[in-house]
Amino acid sequence: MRTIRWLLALVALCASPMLALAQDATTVSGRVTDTDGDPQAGVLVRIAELNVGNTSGPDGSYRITIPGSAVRAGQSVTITATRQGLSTVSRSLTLAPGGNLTQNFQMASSVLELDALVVTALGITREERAVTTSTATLDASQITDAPETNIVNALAGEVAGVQTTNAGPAGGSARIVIRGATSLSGDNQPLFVIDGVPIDNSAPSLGGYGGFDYGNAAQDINPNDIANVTVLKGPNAAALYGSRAANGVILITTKSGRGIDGTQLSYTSNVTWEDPLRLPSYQNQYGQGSQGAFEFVDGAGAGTADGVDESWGPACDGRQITQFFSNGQPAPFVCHPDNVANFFRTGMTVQNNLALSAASERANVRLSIGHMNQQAMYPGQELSRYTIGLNGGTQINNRLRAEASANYIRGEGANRPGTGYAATNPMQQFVWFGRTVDTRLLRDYMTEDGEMYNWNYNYHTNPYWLALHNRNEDDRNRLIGNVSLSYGLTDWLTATARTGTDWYQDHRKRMFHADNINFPDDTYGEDVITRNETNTDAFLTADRDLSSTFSLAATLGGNYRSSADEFNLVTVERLTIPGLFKATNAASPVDAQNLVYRVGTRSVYGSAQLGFRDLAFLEVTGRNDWSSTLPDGNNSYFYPSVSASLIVSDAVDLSRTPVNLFKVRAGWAQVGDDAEPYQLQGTYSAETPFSGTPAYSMGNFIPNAGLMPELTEAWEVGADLKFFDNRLGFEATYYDQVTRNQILRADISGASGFLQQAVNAGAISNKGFELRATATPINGSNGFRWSMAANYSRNRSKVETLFGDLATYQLGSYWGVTTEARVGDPYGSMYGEGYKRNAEGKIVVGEDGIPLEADERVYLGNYSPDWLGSLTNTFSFRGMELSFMFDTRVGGEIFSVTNMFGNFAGVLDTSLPGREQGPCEPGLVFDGVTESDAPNTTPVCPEDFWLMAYFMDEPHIFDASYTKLREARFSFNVPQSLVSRTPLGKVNVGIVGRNLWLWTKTPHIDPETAFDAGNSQGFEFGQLPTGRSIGLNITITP
Amino acid sequence: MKNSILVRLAPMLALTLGAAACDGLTDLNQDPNAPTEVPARFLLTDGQQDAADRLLGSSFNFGYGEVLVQHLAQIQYAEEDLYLYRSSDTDFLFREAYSGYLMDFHRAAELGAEEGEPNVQAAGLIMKSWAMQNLTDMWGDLPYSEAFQGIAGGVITPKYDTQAQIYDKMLADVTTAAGLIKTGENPLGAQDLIYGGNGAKWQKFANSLRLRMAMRIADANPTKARAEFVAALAGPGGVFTDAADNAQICYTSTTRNPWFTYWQTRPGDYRAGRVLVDTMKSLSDPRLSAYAQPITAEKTYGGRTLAAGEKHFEGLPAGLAANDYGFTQVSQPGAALLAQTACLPVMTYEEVLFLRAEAAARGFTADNAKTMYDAAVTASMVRWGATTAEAQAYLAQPRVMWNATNSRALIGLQKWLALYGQGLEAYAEVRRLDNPVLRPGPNAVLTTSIPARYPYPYSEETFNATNLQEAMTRQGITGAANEQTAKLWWDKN
Repeated sequence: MRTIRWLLALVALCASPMLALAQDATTVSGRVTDTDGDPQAGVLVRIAELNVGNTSGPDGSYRITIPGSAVRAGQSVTITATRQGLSTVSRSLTLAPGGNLTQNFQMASSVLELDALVVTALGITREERAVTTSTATLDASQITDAPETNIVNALAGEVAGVQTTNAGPAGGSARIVIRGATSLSGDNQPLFVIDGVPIDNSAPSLGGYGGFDYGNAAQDINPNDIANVTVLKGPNAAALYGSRAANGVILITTKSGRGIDGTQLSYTSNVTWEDPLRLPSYQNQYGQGSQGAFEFVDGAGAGTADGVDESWGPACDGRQITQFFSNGQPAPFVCHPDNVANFFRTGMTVQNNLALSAASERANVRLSIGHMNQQAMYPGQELSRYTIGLNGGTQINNRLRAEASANYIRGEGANRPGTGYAATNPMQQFVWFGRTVDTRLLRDYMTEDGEMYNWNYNYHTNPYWLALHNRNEDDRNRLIGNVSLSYGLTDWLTATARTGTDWYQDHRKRMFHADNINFPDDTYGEDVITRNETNTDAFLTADRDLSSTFSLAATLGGNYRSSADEFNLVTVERLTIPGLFKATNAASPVDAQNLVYRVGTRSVYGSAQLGFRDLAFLEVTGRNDWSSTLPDGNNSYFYPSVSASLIVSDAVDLSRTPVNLFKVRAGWAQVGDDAEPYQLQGTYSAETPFSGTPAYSMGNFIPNAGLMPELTEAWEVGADLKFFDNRLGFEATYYDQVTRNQILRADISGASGFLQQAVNAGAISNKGFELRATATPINGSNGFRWSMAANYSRNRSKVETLFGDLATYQLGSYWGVTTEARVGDPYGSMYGEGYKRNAEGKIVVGEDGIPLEADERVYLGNYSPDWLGSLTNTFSFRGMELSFMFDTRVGGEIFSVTNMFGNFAGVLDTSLPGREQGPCEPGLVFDGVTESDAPNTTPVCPEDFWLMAYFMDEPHIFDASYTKLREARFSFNVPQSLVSRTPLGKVNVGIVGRNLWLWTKTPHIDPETAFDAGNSQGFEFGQLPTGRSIGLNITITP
Repeated sequence: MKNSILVRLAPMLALTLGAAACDGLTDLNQDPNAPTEVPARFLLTDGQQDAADRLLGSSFNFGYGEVLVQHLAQIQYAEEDLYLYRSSDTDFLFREAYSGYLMDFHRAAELGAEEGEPNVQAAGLIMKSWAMQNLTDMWGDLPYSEAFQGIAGGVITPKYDTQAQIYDKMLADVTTAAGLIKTGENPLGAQDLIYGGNGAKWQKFANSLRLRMAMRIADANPTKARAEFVAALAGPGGVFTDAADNAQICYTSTTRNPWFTYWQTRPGDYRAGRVLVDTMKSLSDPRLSAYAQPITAEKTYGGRTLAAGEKHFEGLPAGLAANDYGFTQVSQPGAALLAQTACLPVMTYEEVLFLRAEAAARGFTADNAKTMYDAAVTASMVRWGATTAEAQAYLAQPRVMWNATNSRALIGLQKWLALYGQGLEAYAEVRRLDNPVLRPGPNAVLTTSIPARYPYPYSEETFNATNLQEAMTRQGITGAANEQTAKLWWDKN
């Protein structure tokens, strides 16, 4: 209660000066328009000497009140109008106490703007110059000109320090990490905030052994509703958004109709087509079989190697061999180079968006309707998204403003492919395949008596049966909304109350028909997952000049957050009546799970920014959280931050130099974080009953009743520079961050009777450097313009300490390769079985010509990149624009199981060396030395070589560097002369390509891949091909 | 006006902030999804089910034990048949054992004592000892006295006990258990998947298991072995006296035999072993048609074409790197073993008879070794569907007939045959009795003899390094070089 008294005292203190206000005030008002005379909203009009200012409304009008005490009669001041995208205009004004002055502004479009506005935490708009930490802002066009349906993918390459990884198939998950991973076991992705309210971006945790990727939840956002996106990179924003902002914040502001003149209807349509960016390179010299032999009898072993799903068979030179399609008769044995490519179809995505905006002096509203439909490359897969957004605000009276937004989203998916090493993933059988199998012959997947028709009856399900007969369906209904009310207590102090919620429900069904191979019976699964988070905030914001030299912008508030995630999962292994996919049709016990997870936090927070002559800024923040997930006594924790910036170019006269802006900034922050729920007490878990007899087991982890909050500490320094009339600019930031006391379930010796223990342990540091450079090499008077933007970032992580004597923490483990956080190593190091090497580092080969395995597990690499970069070039000329963006990832490794099994199975072209003259002829002579250090000369049959290579991991580790032509776009405004007689206003047409080209040293796969969006990165198996897309985009604004 | 609004706003703010500090947030953190207490008998069921899955069913049994003793051979992906083990598999088996079924049994025994249910406590102790013997016979020294203490004692790096210490403790526990049981009570009922809670049967099982443990250490510590064996025979309630006493878990159409579910989706991994099939053929063993299925391909064998309808059995040689044999040219394991509702034995009457025959031959007891041996072979025959007459004819063959001077080889061979389907016990007894002599296959990583032990898991190197290193050193394990060939404490020859 002491805190409250203190707060009340502060509120009272803040309130007293306003009594002195309002005597003989002077007002300055006017209207801001562009060169066409259209009103311009959001323009900041300021009189710097007096530290007063205001922002123009939807009709372009503004009004500034100057306290009488601040005005001297006849004083001449400079009034300046600024906004991003417009050239700054300054006018001289002579004041008179009690007078009403009018000053209109006409502003031209600008190239690069000095005093851009930035949306910062809690939706507060600040001048870019006053921002003290590293941020990046993307405007609507940077999001929507990419025909990406997932906002995370649309951010690829756009911001320095941001790494995105597109993990899955169409509609699947994408991962985003800012400045490297800080947490061992927790979420390393930034918090997504829409219009000030956090939303959920959870993604299914799939792992390497399969499942269906339903995508990360932020992909529900309709890119066309986005007004701008601000990326807050460091943890400084955490004071206002809480712990989860420790990984940064993706702050999305949606279009609200503000700033529109009257009524506006806009329409956007695009259609894109996609095909696989990369499929593995298959060999086409040997067909299905083993040891050079094959003859089909029943596809399950009755013939010669006909149960084998590998391509070590006879040469596919057209010789006569009985095959699966030939009804027991010999048929020409030929390879089908495109048999995998033929399985996929050309994907098509159609998006249509219609938005109606209207604004008056007192109110603004925007209604948008969006529809997206995607026919994916995977046969039968279809995704749809319907969005309805209503967003508006009204100025109820001079002091009271109400705003509300509601977004309803319905997503639908059908026939998603399975992922990972699972029978439901079609790429699994293409890794184990007969190169002589013509997939087109498998399209009729069912025989007349309802049995599966296939090329192999031992291991695999016909891929078309998987895709088209085994259905899975899902839908998601989601409501994201918020209501806020703000009251201007004075013209510098506003009280705001806001509540927002994100609620959604996933409904998923999986229906598998008995195929007598992977599914001996019809099986059924149904999930209903409901997630809900509600945030309620009440806060005061103050923005005033304390004197002619000092200004104050402050926030003080509280937050009440509660979330509940509920999982109702039903699986039926066997159904009674085939084809009736209902839990009530169960022949085996219904496996049902009902789980609910509830978390609550309460917070008090405050921030204050002190400005000095509009050129130096100091910001302090603080927040105290009370979390339900930590034990009494440890569940209250405070975290502060301090940051500052100085506009050197205003403090020192640089007008004779080419420098337009020179800003330096520095910041320090701490963030506390709580635990996952229910870590404090052990429980028993219900296990599958034995034929109806119930069974329970003890939980597998040791709870910890003494958990403490995690603590991240970070500092950053940076500088922003602009030269040559703002045509050259740099933003550079160096940061150093450590996360301590990490709450994790540390793996422990199973002999303890448990697998994991909840502990506070470990420290991970991340140090890095980010650079953004912008340039406008040509800005011709004829309207031709060439601009460039480049991003570079590098991050170096280090695991400083772990838990007790623990030397390593496992992040993931597949096929013997582990990704680990090992003390002294960077995060994400990979270990596994390596080659035995001699003193000179040469690989030692045994008598049989096969490399020997090292005695100890060896370091194989690290999944984190050395650096990331991107380069965008844009050329524009009279309404035409051409741009392309490359992005690159340099360094880091990947363990590719497609390579491991694809060579094991002899389907990849890399399995050809050594069998040029016959299945084992001349044999593969591995480049190594014998145990007596002589060069190896012993040939080994490639089939044996790749079998033995499977027992090692090192042969399947690759450099995961790549460069992608991420986006290329050409757009133009249809000449006004063509549309002037139609009801259409402006018409813009664009041709856009995404993921057009890939350069990489990794064989066979796109190294931008992951099993899911979690921390277990660096593994690949059965990657579904990434789409290379080309599309057409039309925007109509009347 | 301005002031009054502030005054009105202040309580609202205070309310928000006050709520922050004052309400009972921690109540939210009570896990609503799972209980914090359950009766011990539910844990016993889970342990029995999981242990049966692993020790009688998939990986540990037919994936390792049955392959190691060449009852089965791998026709595709012959990793275990070549003695190549993936560290992830080893880790999984170790970690699952300790944190899963062993912990279930350990906790059931503790809770049973707390609940005042000695029969539950005893069943927990017996099952724990049975499962632990399986593990120590694979690995040797293992954590035991300090194991399962992650919560209770805060021990997360338990030390390794020597195998001798583990045997001492297991023998003591089954002895205690036999004494605890009240035959008039049945607190377990249907929760007990083996005996339905029948206390008298549990007593017999405890004593019979004590026979098995005593005999296992007969070469390492004959004095103790003899004392324990004799005491077990005289233990309360006695030992198994007929097949109705067999400890086994019977599957249903709802919870199905793990062999059945495995073969359902992966019928192309294992086949009956060549040594097994050939041995049985040479002895005209009537169990062969139950141990293996006739081959389905019409092929020529030994220079002659099979007659229509002729049942022909062919085994797959061990340790081939690639499938040189067509899937249908070698026999699948017997249909009874793969049946959906098969019963998988934990311990059988015939095993008790074999143990008593050996004890008599060693002079531990005054039993008649021949009588016991003949009865053992006969009991096995009968369990697999042969008649006593067939058994008598079988026993009359010179290579089978009891011969006291060759008792070790005879018992070794017959026990190896009788333990078909019980791979872990068969593997332990083949190593202890050194009969029959099994040779690694041509592509195996060992060349002279089959492995003497299973490599320690990588996870222990990571999470319990000091204790593991100490155990390896004292057992003479230097690393990859002899991690599969260093003999266990009780394996003296």
